[in-house]
Amino acid sequence: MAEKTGTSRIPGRRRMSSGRAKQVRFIVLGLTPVLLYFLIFSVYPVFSAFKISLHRWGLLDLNRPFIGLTNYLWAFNDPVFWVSLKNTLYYAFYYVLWGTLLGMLLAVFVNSLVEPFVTVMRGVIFMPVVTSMVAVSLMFVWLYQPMYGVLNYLLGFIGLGPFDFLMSTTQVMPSIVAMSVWKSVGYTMVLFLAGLTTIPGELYEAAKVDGASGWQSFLHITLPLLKPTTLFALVTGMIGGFQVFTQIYVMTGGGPGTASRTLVMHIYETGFKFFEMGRASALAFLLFALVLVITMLQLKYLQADFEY
Amino acid sequence: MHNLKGTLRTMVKAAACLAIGVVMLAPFIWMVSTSFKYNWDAISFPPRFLPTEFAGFGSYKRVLTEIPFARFLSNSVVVAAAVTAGVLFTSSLAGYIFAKFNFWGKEQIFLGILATMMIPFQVIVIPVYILVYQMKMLNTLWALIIPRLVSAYGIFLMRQFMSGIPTALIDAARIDGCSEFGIYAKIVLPLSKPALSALGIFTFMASWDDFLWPLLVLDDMPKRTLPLGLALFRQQFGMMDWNVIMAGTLLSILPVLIVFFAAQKNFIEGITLSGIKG
Repeated sequence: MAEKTGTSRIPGRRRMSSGRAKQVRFIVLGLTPVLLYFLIFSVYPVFSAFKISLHRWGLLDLNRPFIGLTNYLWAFNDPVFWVSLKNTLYYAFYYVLWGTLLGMLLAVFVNSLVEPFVTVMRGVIFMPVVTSMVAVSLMFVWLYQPMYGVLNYLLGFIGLGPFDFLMSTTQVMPSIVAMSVWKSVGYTMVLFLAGLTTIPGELYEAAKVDGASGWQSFLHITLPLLKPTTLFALVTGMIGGFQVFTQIYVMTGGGPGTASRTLVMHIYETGFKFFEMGRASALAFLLFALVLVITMLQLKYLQADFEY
Repeated sequence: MHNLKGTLRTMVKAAACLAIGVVMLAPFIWMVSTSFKYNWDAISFPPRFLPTEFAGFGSYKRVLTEIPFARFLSNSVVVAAAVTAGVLFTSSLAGYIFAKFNFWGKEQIFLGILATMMIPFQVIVIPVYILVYQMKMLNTLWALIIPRLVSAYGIFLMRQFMSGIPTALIDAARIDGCSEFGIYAKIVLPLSKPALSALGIFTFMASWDDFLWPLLVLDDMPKRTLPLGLALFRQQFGMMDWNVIMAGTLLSILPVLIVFFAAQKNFIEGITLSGIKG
């Protein structure tokens, strides 16, 4: 950030050289549309959404009275909100936990292979990442089918099941988490693979000379040096996890009952099925607050661990 | 003895590769197999790995004739291409300005742009929906393109990358009389290819996969994008026509998968770049 263009000084000491004037014009022409865009599509909507959340704001209402924090109170008094919150927390927690853990293990494993197996395995594990979420959701609805589903058939061989998966109030969330981890683990793995390449090989050689086992090297070299990558994976995974919607919408619609209803699903139905925009905005701000608080906590506590 | 241990290790690794491969690929293989079955075969129990009777491309024909699949596909391509082009242009331009120029309030403006990344889309979705409605863009592809043409993340990524371009190069071009826009287009852009390709891939994929927003703003069948058309499949076809549903699913992911396998290196490098820089 300290770099100076320096050019403004080259043509002499006039207050505004023609070169600088051209630069100013370039900056103004280049940035104004971008800044206007942010004002229109990011800044204004935040304030507008907050304002809407303080009003009774039905889409078709002619009269939209100010009602203070009533919409927020409504959310807190609505048991469905708490169920959605619980499901969202459950999803975000397990999705991030398993995604990060498996992503790291897969990266270490793939990293230990030789070519061409590295490229092949990386490609295979990454395949679901480039597959659209709707497509993956449909594939898994088919796999999870309680009656004709191939997963129940296969689990039968090891004496498990049959499970209802998406039709069961207790199994629906774990089933969706499992699918989501399967879809995104390739992304986390590639992050960790990049992290692994930054660890100097001499460290492992030195450890070997000192008689450290492979497991000890992993524990004392790999793991600590992967901390920045882990933090990145945890924070971005958590932010994404709180916004889970597509797979819920496609696979269960939030059901059975409200067993897989998440906050974004709740926002969607409140705002765009019942057209209670005020209530939906209040819910969205609660989600925002939740994401902010958890991100801050993660950064604070995990970053404190950084000094090794 | 040592050799034996090495052989054992190789075998364990091979077995692990195989197991991982099966877990990752099985859902895809099952989709392909189902799509070539007749319906009675697809929903028979116990399931058979291969079709009892090969059904040919009948399911695919139904996907292509009974719903406007080609239309969904072209909608998705048009939207993703337009959004990607827009984001690449605005991000590189603004990123360049933030990386290589000094002006009053630069740091504050940049931080302000970064701060917008913290806002989940769900928070602003209702006002943006109202904006799009007021602009009379509801139920048009414009609704998917216009609000997505500028990306805070893209500006951040490009600024990070362009900070590494030597300022001397830019100054030299200026002395040679190159215009400011010319410097951006002819010197900075070509040097930023890795970052541009990473950002391009991400933007394209994000747009391709976008679901909540198209679901809200598109109503008419022929206006739908692929994910939206696909999600409503089960309402179009019978709930149990899994062979047809799987055929459509496969058709919908094929274009991206082909691009992925043709340019796997770019995908991986893109994530690496953004992961380390981000």
